[in-house]
Amino acid sequence: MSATLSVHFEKRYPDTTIRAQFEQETTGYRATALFGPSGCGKTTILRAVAGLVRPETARIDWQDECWTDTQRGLHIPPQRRRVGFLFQDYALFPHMTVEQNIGYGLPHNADRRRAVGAIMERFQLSGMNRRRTHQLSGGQQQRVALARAVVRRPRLLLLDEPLSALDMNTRQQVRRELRALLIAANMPALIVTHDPLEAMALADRVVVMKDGAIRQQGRVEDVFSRPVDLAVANIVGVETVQRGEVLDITNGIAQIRVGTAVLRAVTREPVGRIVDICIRAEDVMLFRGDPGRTSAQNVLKGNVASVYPEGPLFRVLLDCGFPLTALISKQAKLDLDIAEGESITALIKAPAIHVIAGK
Amino acid sequence: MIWEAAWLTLRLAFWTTVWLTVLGIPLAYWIATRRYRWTFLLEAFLSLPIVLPPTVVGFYVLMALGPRGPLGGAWFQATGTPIPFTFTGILVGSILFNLPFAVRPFISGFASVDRRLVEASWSLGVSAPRTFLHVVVPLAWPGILTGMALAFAHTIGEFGVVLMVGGNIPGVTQTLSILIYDEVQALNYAAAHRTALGLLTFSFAVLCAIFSSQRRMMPI
Repeated sequence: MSATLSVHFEKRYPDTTIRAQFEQETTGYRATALFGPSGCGKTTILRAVAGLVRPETARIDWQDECWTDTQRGLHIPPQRRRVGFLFQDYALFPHMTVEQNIGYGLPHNADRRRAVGAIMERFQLSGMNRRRTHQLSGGQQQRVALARAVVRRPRLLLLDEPLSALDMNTRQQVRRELRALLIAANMPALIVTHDPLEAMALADRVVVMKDGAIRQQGRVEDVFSRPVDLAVANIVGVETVQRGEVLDITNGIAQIRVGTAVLRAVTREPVGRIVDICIRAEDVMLFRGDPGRTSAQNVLKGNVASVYPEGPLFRVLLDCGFPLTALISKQAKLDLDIAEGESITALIKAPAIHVIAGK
Repeated sequence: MIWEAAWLTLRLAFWTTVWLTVLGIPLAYWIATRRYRWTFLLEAFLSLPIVLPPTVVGFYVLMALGPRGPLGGAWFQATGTPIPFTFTGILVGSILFNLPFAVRPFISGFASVDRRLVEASWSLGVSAPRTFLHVVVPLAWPGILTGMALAFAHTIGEFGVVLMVGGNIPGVTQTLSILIYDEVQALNYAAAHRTALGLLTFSFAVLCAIFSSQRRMMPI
């Protein structure tokens, strides 16, 4: 028996076509993020997997079961796919209480009350049985929606932008909770998101989509640190992407001119090749004064162009002969006394610089 | 005579409301959820009684239901009785004339139900008919109730269509509004005034009930 969800999907619109093909393992908690900007077609694919839309050309197989095969005119209705769908704004039934919402999809028998009670306790919803959904906070609404989807023990969870309806502060807290709940539920999940943090926190594989096509797929850490091209680098939110030229290669380490600086990086691109270099902000270390002897191959002197808070962290924009972004903690900002106009040293290890062949 | 007319009027309004609910709900749900290119033609046709004089609607209903009309002829052959100038006749005319007053609020009610709630129900394994009963109807209820109340109240005051199709036969087709007309024709203004005031009070009470219940049932 194949333990995969396999999706081949194509939908034509007057001005664009959405195409996607990917597979996902279906044992335990395996999460794939369909990741990309709004309007790239990822939600349509999720809805097709749930059976809520009938694509023009598609084949969707769950293990040895065919859910959709447009060639044979086969379309298993959503009721018979046994999937749990978490809608972007949760789609809780406003005329029902929390308890009625969660138990809605369960058969009317003696086990129903027990199953609802157990899941409410696990999702920290005890005591809210008779509340209406509009009386709940955003985070509580999300837990009710997830409990409602999970209580039926679906074979696959589908999550459409699960955190987008929450404000920034709640989002950080709920992101941690959601991951713990998904792992505890131990079900495979397909998650649609345009937020890199959400993809990194919840998924172990990522499928990057843009303009209706898959641009890259693989393990989250690989895709986010080693995007295949500039478009993917921009979509996954690599903070520093700059054009450069390979000047020299010695012992596998290339010297690349970027702006007025020269960086050392690992690449197979030949001398003279125009390349794009990608540096994630969390891979940049900042230093006051002389760092002394260090394993980092790139020690760049520069000035702080601007500093602004981003949640619990600070984003520091530097001018090191090219614009470079670093992400540091509040404590580091205080310790280093970082302010606009101050001179600072940035350290980057050669393997942290990802090199893409320029076009 | 007034109680006979009142009872007939209530019976007519009740059965008109029942038939419009049974026929109008599937029709309205179909219109509200399907976006076919030509749906507007059906909507325009259904709304004709709002703009047409009741006598025009009554005239065509009479033509269709008469013994020489397409429907009336078939009915006459099957049952041996004509439809015009009977309770069945005014009921059919009343149903057709009140169609938009019931169906338009039904459509608004169904259109106000978030499509994602229906999809959420389906993906929770609940069949389409059960989803309709447990999700769509409770959420569209203010619109459904408004349509039923409007159809009932509007039938109580119905005049033109009933007169055209049913004539003025006491105990058979003479409703309250026709009785008023009859009394005015006979210069019996006091009796006409009593009946008219009763109708006015009833209509106002029904509208008050609709609007106050709509406020209470407003979605959260």
